[in-house]
Amino acid sequence: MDGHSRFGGVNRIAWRPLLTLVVLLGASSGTTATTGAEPVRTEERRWSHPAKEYPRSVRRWFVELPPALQYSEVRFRDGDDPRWAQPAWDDADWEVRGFWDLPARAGVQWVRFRVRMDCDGRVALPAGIMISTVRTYEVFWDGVLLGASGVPGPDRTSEQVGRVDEWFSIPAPLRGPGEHVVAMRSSSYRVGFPAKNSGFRFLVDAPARLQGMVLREAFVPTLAAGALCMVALAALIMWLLAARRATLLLLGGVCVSGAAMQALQAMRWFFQYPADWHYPVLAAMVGLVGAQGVLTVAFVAVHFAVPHRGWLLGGLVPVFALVSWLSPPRLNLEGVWILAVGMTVSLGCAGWALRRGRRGAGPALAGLAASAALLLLEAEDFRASFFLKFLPALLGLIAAIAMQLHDERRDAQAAQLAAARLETELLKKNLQPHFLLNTLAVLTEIVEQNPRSAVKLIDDLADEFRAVARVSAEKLIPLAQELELCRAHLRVMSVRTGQTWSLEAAGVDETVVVPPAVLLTLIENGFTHQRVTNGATVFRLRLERVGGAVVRLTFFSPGEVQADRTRPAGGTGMRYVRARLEESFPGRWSLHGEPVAGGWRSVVEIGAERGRA
Amino acid sequence: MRVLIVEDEPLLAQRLERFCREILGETLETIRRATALAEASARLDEAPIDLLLLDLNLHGRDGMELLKASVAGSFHTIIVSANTDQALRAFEFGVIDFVPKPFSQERLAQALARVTEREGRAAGAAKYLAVKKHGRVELVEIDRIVYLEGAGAYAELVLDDGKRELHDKTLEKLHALLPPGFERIHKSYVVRWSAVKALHASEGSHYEAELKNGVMLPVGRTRYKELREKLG
Repeated sequence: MDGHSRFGGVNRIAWRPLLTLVVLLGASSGTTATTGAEPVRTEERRWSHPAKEYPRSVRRWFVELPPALQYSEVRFRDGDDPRWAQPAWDDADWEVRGFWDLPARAGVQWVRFRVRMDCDGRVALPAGIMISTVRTYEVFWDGVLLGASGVPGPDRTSEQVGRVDEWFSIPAPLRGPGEHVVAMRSSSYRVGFPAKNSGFRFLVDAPARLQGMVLREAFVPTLAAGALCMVALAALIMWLLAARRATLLLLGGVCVSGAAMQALQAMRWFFQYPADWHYPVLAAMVGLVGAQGVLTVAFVAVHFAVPHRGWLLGGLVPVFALVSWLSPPRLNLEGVWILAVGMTVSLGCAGWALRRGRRGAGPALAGLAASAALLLLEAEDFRASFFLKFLPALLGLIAAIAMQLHDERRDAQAAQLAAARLETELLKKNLQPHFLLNTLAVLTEIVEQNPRSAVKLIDDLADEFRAVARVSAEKLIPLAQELELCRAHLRVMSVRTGQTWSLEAAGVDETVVVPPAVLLTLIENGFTHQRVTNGATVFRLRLERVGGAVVRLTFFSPGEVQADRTRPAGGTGMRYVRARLEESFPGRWSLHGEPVAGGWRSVVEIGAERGRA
Repeated sequence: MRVLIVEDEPLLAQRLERFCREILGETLETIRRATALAEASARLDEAPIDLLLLDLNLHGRDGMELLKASVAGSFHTIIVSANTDQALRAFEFGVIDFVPKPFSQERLAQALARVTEREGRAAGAAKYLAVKKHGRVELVEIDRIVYLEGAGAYAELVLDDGKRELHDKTLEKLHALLPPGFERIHKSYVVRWSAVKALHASEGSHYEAELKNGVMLPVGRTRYKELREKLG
């Protein structure tokens, strides 16, 4: 049922060289049609097991038939004569054609062939017949009408379409060992397939065995549709509740298109749909496979952040169209080829990701490779055990997502820890014994010398601690608060050093947000590494917006940089500043410092997409 | 006594100076101030001192080097710092006391007493003595010292391998820094007591200590009896 020539013989011959060039799959074989060959006339009957008569894509149906079963060649005749049903009718002058090589949309036609069980007569011929075809037919067994699928007719209006799969039973008196003549009167105006020829699948076995085959055929796609739906639902729920990321939706899309495809596949066995549905159903399945291919590539490309993925995906659609145009003239092979292209591109992306050391690339690559290998092994029919073949790839993709989620959770925990550590560091910075004890030491002196000033210092110190308490739990604070914190610190330091320190920030937009205690750290570094010269005790802050959302803070710290020690780039203070900037502006900040006339200049840029200084 | 204060916070330098004046009174000969150790070394070249009051952050290599350079000098060093976590380290390197900030006059007096009193000892045990050698400061493990020999304003450290190292401090000052277990046996000798094998008295009130490595050191007449009892 699955093999139909979509192009005429001439077209096919023209495509052959191209097909041999496009070695995407070893799947260009598979047609046994003999269109173009001279009809053979023979008196001798040629007997063989039907498994040898059918194309490889449907051969699995026949290998299970009794080994002793043999079919003769199929003889074909245009026209209509009720006598042609008779077993004794001499069909020696009829044309010999394959089971898949009957002209489509060409009036009423008859085919005759014989069935026998070569044994010593102890085994009766099995009693059931299953016929799968999009053609309309009546079937005769040794001249007796077994039944019909639809009503054959000489034109489109008089033909009534039947069902794709039909079951018949052979009456007990007609079973017996030996030769039996099968005659079929058929027409095919509503075959749906655009190909010039069509065919039928004819199975003879015990009814229970035929039923078993159908059940097995239906089992995997049914299971697959259910399983894929569950995965798709799980992905959707995760997207809704846990993580709004494109890959979860893409995974869901891969599963939904797979589930729909498998549901269509299974539907045939649960609802014997009319024969003229079959072509649209198969076309829809190819379309779904195409969607699945694009979504799989999209998943891999998005998940591993493959560059130019827009172009990659955009380019895939015409490639799929070309592939289905170039593929051998069998509706299932378009699907195989599309899957092959999708797998190849996905493998390429996953390989690239593996080389780049992306997490999860290993399982994704392994899964895709395993699936690609399984598809290649049975390339004749992508629908046969499609789910089992696609399962490794699916598991690989899920593993990649799981590993990504795991990493993210770990990173989130690390970030949480880092935030907690930074908060502690900020508090420590201001409550650190060195600062506090030195201030207290100064305080003891002032208390003894000038109690009134001592109260002032205590107030200043309290101001600074209040400012610290306000910002300590924040990740970002308005510049106004940061300046307040800095000035409180400078008031304390003014008492301690006996000099009047100040911070100038004229015209600065104080609503700009910065991580807490960044400027304070720059001030502290100034006190640690610089020495007052010429009584310069003014820190200066300038703020500019340099294009877009980028804010540049230029901070001048007065005093001669102490000669014998360059300002340590990795000191605890600067480590704190870097960690804070990275926490709030990951990858979008820069920081550098340099000695300038009369002091040290630090430049912080926030919002710039560039490397860290 | 000649004192140098190294403290960058003027109020604290003022406090230290005031306390020194009040505690030392007449015995204070000179007192000078510097805001950083680099500045202080210039002051040291101008005139020698007996005591350095040093505010030093020992974190990092710089602080350590400065401390070593300081304790290798001929004077005693008292660290006055808020970084109390560094006190132990400072003692290992041979400071005579570590006064934590904030400090009271009593606490500073206690530290100064370690320097001024005859039998004053360091508040903690030193592990190293810093010696100036070829323009650099090197550390000598005190565990390796067998005895010390005074030579006027200097002292020689005699090590277990027989090597001798010259130290800028006097024998008295070094003895004050050394951990218990070192005995002054003579005005010019301090010896590790566990290295002494026997004491000998010869004619003419000539006393000697025989060390386990065979070296004979003179023993002061006034010290002999006490040492005899100690040896048992």
